[in-house]
Amino acid sequence: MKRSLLLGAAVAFAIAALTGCATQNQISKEMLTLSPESMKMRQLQTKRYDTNDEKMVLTASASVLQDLGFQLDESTPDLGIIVGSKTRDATDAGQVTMAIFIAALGGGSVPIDHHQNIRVSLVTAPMHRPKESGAPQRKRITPEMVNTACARINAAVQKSLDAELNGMLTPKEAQQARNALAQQFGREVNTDLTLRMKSQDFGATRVRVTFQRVVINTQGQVTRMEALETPELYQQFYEKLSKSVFLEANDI
Amino acid sequence: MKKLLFAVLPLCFVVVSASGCANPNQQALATSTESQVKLRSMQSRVFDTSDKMTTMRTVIATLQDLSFVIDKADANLGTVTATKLAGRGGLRMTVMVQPKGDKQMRVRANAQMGMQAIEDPLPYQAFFQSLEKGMFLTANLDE
Repeated sequence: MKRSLLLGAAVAFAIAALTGCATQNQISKEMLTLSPESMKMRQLQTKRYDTNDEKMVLTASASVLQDLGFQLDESTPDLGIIVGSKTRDATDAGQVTMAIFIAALGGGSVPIDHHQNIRVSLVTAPMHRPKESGAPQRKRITPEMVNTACARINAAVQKSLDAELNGMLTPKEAQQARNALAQQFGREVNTDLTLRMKSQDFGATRVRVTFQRVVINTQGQVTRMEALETPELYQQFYEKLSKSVFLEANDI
Repeated sequence: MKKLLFAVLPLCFVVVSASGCANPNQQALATSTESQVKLRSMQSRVFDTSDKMTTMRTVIATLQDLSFVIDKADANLGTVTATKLAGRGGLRMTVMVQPKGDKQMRVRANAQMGMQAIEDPLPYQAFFQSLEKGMFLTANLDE
């Protein structure tokens, strides 16, 4: 009896030692295979903005993360990456009640969740639109182009007003009228060109954000490690980011 | 009885040391049980593209699709490190993108789960299959 027990124990031990490896590889293989849910998660975690200004989106994102109280740990603007983290309370009222209850029954102190480290990584990437066939290639309007155009138009307007007003008014009056008219016209031209510049098809930038948390209990042990996957979290985050991108784009 | 005990004990010892999993003496310079060349080859794939940045961005997107959280990335060196919190102690991965000649990129990945390096080819195959899907999408859909 004892013999077979010992032998059985040895065999069980051997199997456990060997399968330790096999399951580990199996788990890691599953973890590295794309699951059907991954597309759903991608949609939930991704948002697209109609601008090719990736740096602007990244800056707006960093601001939102700061709004949410994250410390920025890493940033690699060339690859559009920001990594942040924050430590927050993770005390759960239910757990506390339970711990008190157990202690009251003489069960000693029970470790409860104490704090959590929340980590976020945010990645932006440019999205290229498929090129429209046959559409004429037009030069992109830049702020410098708008400024040069405005300066030249202003000079031309001043010159032609000069010629028209010179005979009619005294030089001083002419100068005042010329300046007022040119200024008003210049403002209109500037507004028009800026509007055109902003409504250009700039392509798009996509943002993908992921949150995870590690919960640590009162004895300093890790009790939970998980990705945060509630849709509300991502919806709320992108509501804030959309606002931030708007503010950033309009220099507010 | 004693005889059997003596027979069983060495057996246990052999099993434990052979499985390599439970070896507590993993030191900083301890290389894997696999040969260096074999390890490199199963951890690497070569892709037909000369665009390092796009390859890196595809690696990052693939890791995110696999629900990894990016820890850090370096565009100059071509490295991306990411963690996936699940399973025992989480899966941590470093991926390195290096040009191979003028027209190709070599992508090398190495992973550890908990405190154990992953040296089985299958997990890497799975990762590169996921990455190949991403590379194909990037190259053909131009997103």
